[in-house]
Amino acid sequence: MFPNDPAALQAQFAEAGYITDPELATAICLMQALERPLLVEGEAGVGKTEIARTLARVADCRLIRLQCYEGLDSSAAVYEWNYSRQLLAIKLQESGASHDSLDVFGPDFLLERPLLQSIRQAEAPILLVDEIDRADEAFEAFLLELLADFQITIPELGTITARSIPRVILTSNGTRDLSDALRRRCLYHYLDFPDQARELAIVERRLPEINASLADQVTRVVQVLRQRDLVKSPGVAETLDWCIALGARGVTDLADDTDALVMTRGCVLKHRDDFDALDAETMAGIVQRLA
Amino acid sequence: MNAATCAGSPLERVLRFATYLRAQGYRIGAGELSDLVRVVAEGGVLDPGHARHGMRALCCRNDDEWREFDGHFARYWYPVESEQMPMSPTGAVDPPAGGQGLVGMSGTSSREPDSTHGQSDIEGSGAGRQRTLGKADFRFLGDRGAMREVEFLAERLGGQLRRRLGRRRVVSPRGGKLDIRRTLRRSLATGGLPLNPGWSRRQPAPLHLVILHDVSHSMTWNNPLLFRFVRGLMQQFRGSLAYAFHTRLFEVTPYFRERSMARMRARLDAGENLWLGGTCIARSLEEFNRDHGRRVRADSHVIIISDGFDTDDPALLRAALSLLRGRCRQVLWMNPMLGRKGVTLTAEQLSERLPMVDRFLSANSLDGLRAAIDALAKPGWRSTRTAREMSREDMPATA
Repeated sequence: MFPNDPAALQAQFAEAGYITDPELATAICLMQALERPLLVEGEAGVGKTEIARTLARVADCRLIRLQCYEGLDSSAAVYEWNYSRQLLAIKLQESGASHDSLDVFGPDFLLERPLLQSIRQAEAPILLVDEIDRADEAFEAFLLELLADFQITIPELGTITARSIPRVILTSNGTRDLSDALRRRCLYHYLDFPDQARELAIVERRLPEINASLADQVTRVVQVLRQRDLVKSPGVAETLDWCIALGARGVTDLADDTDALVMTRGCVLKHRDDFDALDAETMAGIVQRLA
Repeated sequence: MNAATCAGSPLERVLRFATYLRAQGYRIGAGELSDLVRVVAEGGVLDPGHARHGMRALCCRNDDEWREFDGHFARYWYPVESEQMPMSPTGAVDPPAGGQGLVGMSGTSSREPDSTHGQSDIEGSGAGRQRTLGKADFRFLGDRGAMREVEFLAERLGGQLRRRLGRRRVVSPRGGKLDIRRTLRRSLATGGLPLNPGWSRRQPAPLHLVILHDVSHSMTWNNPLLFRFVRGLMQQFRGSLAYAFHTRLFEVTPYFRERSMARMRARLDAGENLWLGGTCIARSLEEFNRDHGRRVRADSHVIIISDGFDTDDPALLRAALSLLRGRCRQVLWMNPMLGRKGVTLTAEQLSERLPMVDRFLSANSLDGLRAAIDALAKPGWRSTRTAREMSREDMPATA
């Protein structure tokens, strides 16, 4: 169990490798206290998904993840009947090999998908509905029933109510507006890019072996890059990747090794236009100005 | 701390703050209010030190509200200190205070409140409200809530078009729906047992759009909302291209590919002097034909969004449009002036002057935008009718 006190939760998150702020810790505590889902929005790579992973580690419970995509429907998200098994059971019955009464639409033939799994757990799991904005609006509407009452209706079986109320975290990159009905049911948190101090703390926490001055330089350069008009601003994950790449090349000071800086910039720049805008000279200039 | 706001019991104080937030456009329903009271006023869930964070998580529903919350909180509880406080502590993507920022029509309206306040006729709820919103002239959406709603609906039109075009289903090994015909056929091999079922999925609907958007001063009123409409289309049809023009042309496709609306707004606001100066439509189209014409495909749908106020020679415009029309499947011209009360110019008159444009459509209301979606969903019409005939049939009524 995780504590209901935001400060204690913040400390536990830090111990688990996720540096957070009191605001997010408060939102997570409220999620637990009010049994309401938490909707986290923010740029790609700021650590939205990681919140759920860390929470599962801290609370020592199961993490059930549903990755949303266009065309996601209830057969992939909620349940599906095991057609092959149903057919085999019917054949067995026909051939006389089995004399048990047969209900092919019973629990034995039900394949549980993430949403159904999450409400059938004896111990409340963390349910991560990742990138909900990628799913269709029809699926979003379906999700409302689960989030409002934590129950799922299967026409052949009836309504299945939750054995335990999962703690639900929904993430969104803002590719489309979510419906007001969904937002109304959720607590809301907007996860921004961390400032330099927090990002440095994250790097040091996740990569304890990294050279301290290199980590400081990298995080400051990344902060500068985020101020620029890039097609894709680097997230925390990119910063960590860059630190690993530079560390693997034995770099301790970016100013001394411009080659490494340029060769590894693909860790943080993910678009051709960004590559063109930040050529070797520009990158070296940024590092020199920060020195 | 403000003495007036701190008078009364914790419950009264929280209720007054919720009322204040509602007045700022926050949608705080009975459920949120009950949770607010439970969390903040009754105590036991959060200590006072975390009350602000808790209220923020409970009351905000999107990143705009999230960014503005701290400012509202400070102005309500600490009115003196907040005069020196920035509006948003996280405000990396806040639009510049004095500029013509793309902050949504609601934001733009607030700069010129006198001309629109009290004129909003957006009342009611449910389907009736949807109909009223559809017909309402964008200029008269005085209240912030209605404008947000219209912007949201305008952006959703792109998704509706995509779904409309993608209803046809195709056989696929990993579809979501059973294809009965294919399943029965495959079952023949297993004596009628459907061991290897066939599936179908929706057909992706590729549509190539080329959008040319007038961002001159005369379009200031309409543009934030129309940008949301364009964004909806660009997000749904990824290969499409978007250009903006005033006295010159520039590409804005990458801005619309931004997944975050806040970043898109910030990038648009940061560059290219939007909504300043006059309009050179003909020269901009010429420039487009010369420098980017090769990117227009035979199946492209070109959408020009402009009020048509042009400082260039009309003959130049006709020549540029003729060249453009020869390269694409159809040219739609969305004009915010059409259908507006007091404007006598009609689509028919425009069609006579510019017959190379397949349709002139009104862009002053949601219904006008929906008409554009219809025109994109039924491009086959143009092959059998002239541009003038089509525009006569499909134009909304004008005053």
